[in-house]
Amino acid sequence: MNRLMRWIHIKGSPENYYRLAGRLIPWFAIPGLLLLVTGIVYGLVFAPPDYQQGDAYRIIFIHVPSAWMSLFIYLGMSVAAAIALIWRIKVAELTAMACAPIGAVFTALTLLTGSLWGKPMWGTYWEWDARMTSELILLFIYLAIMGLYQAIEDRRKAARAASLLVLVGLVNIPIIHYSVQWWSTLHQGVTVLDRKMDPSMLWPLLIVAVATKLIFATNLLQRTRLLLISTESRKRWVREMAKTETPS
Amino acid sequence: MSLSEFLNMGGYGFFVWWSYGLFAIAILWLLLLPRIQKRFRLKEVRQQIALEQLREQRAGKSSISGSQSSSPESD
Amino acid sequence: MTPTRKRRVYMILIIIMGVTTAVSLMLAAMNKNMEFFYDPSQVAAGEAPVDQLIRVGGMVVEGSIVRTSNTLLTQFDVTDNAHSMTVSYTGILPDLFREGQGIIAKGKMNDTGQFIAAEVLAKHDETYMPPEVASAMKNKAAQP
Repeated sequence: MNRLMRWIHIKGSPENYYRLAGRLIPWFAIPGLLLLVTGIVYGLVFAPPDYQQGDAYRIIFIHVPSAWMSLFIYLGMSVAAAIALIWRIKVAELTAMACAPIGAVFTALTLLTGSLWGKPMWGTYWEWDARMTSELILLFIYLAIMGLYQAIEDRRKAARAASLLVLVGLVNIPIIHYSVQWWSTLHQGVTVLDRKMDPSMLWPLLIVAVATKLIFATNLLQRTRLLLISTESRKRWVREMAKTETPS
Repeated sequence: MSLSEFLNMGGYGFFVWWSYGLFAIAILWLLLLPRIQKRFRLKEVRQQIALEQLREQRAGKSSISGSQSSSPESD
Repeated sequence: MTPTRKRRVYMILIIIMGVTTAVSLMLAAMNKNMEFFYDPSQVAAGEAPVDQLIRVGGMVVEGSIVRTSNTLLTQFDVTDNAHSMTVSYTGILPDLFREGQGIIAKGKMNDTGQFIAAEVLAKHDETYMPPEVASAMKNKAAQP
């Protein structure tokens, strides 16, 4: 355990992590963007219309991947937050904090695209039912984490306090997931895992789902690097880099 | 399929295109903002270095001015 | 793990347990609030209160939709396969509203036992398929 921790501390030193992340970014960004364009063109142009919902169902190709991301990012953020709280690794703290704005954006997208889908199909933009309310609470939790991180002066104390809030907010995740089973809700139940979708419609959905994961990975590395520059701005490695790296 | 038919989305064009539009804007915003912010942060760091060097020169013109003797880690 | 780290982990666990209890209590309360939903059988049994805002839900009965020619008034029956009830609604119905579709109507029972809806929402199921596949499946089901 100790040797592993020492290895993590060396490899995970801010400077090393910054360089590693910089090298990894294009490996996530390029396939991510290519898959995203592929999946969206597939979904909008080549997938057939739905027998009941016509072309309105095409919103599913961004709504469902966004919803998955809103939960997936929270779980990832919780793992980073737990590591940050237990072992006080700086890179883990910053990773957790970098997750929050990305998760908030995907949660907002889930709510907005769902609302734009609900109006023509259900007949309402919004309904205070279990699925939608718990997803809205998720957005507030993300915003609260970001707010708490900004509110405390000491950057490391701020990250630890916000990490604690991350773990507390974790209780909302199973509630969102099971809300369609626990309560009678307007929202539909599980589609993809129950194989209730035609393959010609399932493929674009899965492609966009993989693409959003890669875009999240790209963005997480970008944002963690940015936080490293901010919090280590007085360290020599950042200063050397600022001098040599001319704005392109 | 004609272009106008495609844009109409079987009468659901408004909802479909707003959804995809918001999605595209959000993804671009996520990916581009950190690039811009990074440039700003590094510029701030450069300004900070320049400021410190200026102070150092003023404080001790006779001594080893402009050198990197003061470790940035010390503060 | 060192003792201080252990203590920190316990602290976190206690906080998470506290919040879980609080949230589950909140949800239990929310569940109670959901009870103003009635299905057609409950309405037939006279359980639904008159002139109070409630929600009813069920499937739209085939052939029961009556539209008036010059107003937006629509009447239709909803069923839970045991009992059915009549719903009147004035307004634009959602696009998914059709025979056999699950719907939720919000409104009040009047004293003649009719449900006057203020809002009608359509539920949709988890199935997605192209129209050709749907009609092929229908044909197959129709053949003995």
